[in-house]
Amino acid sequence: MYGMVNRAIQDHVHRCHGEAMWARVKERAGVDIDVFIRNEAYPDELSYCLVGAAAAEMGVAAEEVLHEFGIFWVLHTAREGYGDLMAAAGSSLPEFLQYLPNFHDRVALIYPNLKPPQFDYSNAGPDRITVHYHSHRTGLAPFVVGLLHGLGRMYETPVTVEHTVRRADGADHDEFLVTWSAPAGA
Amino acid sequence: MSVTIPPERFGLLFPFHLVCDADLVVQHTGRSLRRTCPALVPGEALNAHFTPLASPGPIRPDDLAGEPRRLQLLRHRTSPLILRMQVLVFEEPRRFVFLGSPWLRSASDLTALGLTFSDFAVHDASVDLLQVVQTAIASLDDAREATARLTEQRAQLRDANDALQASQSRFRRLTDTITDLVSIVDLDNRYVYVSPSCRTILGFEPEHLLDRTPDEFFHPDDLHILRDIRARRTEAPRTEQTDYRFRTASGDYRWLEAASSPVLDDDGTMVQVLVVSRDISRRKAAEEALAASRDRLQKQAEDLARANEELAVSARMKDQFFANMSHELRTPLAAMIGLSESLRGGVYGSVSPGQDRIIGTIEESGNHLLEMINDILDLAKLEAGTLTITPGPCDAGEILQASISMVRSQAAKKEQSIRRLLPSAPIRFEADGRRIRQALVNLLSNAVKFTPPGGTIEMRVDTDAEAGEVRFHVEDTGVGIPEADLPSLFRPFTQLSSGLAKSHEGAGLGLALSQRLVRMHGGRIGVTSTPGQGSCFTVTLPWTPPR
Repeated sequence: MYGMVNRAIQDHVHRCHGEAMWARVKERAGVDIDVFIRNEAYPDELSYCLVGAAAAEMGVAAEEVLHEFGIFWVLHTAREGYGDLMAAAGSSLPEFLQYLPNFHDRVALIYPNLKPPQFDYSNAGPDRITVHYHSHRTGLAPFVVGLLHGLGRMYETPVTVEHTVRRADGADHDEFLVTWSAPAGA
Repeated sequence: MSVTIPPERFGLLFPFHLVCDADLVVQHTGRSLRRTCPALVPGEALNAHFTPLASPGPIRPDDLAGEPRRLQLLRHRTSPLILRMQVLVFEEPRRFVFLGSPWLRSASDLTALGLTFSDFAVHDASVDLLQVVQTAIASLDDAREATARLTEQRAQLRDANDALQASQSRFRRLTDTITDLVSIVDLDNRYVYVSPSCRTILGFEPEHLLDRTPDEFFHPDDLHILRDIRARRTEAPRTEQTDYRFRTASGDYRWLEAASSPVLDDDGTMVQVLVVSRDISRRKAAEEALAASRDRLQKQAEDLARANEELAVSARMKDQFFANMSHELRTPLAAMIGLSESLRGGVYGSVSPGQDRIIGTIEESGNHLLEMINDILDLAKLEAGTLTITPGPCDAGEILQASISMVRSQAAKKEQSIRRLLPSAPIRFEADGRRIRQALVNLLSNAVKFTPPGGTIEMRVDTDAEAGEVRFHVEDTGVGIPEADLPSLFRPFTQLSSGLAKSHEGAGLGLALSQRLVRMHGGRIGVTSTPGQGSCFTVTLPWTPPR
């Protein structure tokens, strides 16, 4: 995975739990890197180790950590490095979600070594959309749920995310039914 | 090949397109351009809204028509929008078709123009380039952060290095000047550092010990100390202080007093052992000499104790001998005195005046001898610790009176007068009356002896309520005692140096006996004397004043 994901893990642990906790997570994960370069490719195992170590140090499940990272990634890591691009991807949550397939295809152009997930959507309606998530990596569905919740917060639109189709159940991809009400102030 | 593109498809492909007539009056605009420039509606003059980016004048139709491959950059007059356009000219009627999209230098331009990715044609690479730029910017930020972190770490490293060098320098100065031997041993028990003082203490160059183990230098009899220390250190690192012998360059051994302490890393794990040693050979030699001296003294003390014990046995034998002898002497003597009295009393017939005088001398000599034997017997009992006193209620006046009566006949023979001074009120105290009287009679007897004929002897008794004492005074007008004789006055068998004293009979037991008897009562005897004028002996005894 590219350094951006590891950077999200680092920033989240550092900001929410302090520098000492991040030092312990790194030590437990056996990682001795001070600065993750966001467009540098790192082994997937490193990210998994960081998530596992963070979960162990915080005493929570890895799924919970991934969910929190997803929210944090949208609200802080992506916005702080790519805020204008994120804003340009859509002026509303539905617009962003519908642009998501293009967005990730373009990401693949920028990061030639990246094996990005593929997003697609179906059943787009005024208050719902089904997001399709294809990835060669496993176990990151909670991270996607966190991303979707984070996008809801970014657009100030309360959302519910239902994991309707699971790879864990034998499907070839995951599907998430995202429903929302009117955005705040709308 | 000719392809006809329907207007809605054309708008999808070129959302920022612009169509003007020959006079550059707007005829049509793409959907995204309309969103960005809502005032740019059909009928509006293009020059009212845009100017050439590179030249100050208006946009001229001839310029557009003449150079179809030229990039046209149009600056919007009221917003930051710059259009990057290629112009196609169509004739009959003449129309200018502007195809292109906004010039974007960063993603923030999108935000400033209120545009989203959906406003751009999918084939437009502007958005992708923006992402590339933004990624490059992010990478640059990361590189800056990494550089800053590296700079910070380099500074920390430099500071740490400086501190380390300063510490090493201090350590070097310390170990170069210290007289103690400082060494560091690794976990394989090999010397990794030895201070220069090694030269003066052991005669070795420090390098001689490096990479070698202490075992090679320890005295064979002290190797167990080394093994014990290592065993204890394996259980738990601790500071140890031990003495041992260490081989020097000359091959002999020196005593070292060593304090060894574990050197721990940040995790508390022992990594080395620091040993500070001091040459204590002189001290050890002194200690050995002292021990030898102590042994000699101990032996002498034991010899002395044995001698004392033998002496005590001899003394007890002597006392026993005296006691036995006195008893054996007194029995026949009592018979002699008794028979003499009987002879003089005419029990065995009348005696002539001459015989009476001789018998009197025998009787007097017998009494004197008996008195001496009694004194010797009492003194022997005192020395043997067998003489005991039996305290009871006593009257000072009665004791005084009885004591005087015992010497009255002696005094009468020398025509001496004995004065007695009794207190107005009776003085009662606790004592063995017979023994106190014995002591006082000795003093009175001495007074009679050493007072010339016709002299005066005074005996009085008084009390000191504050001190809780009753005092008997025996004062004479005799020869007195030279000051030089006073210290030996109460020693048994001591003859005074005074010539007058030597002219008087006596074994020198009376005062010694009196003093011991009085001391047994917790009292004391004091004396004041002026040679040629007389002496005053005072017997002081404990007394409880009546309430």
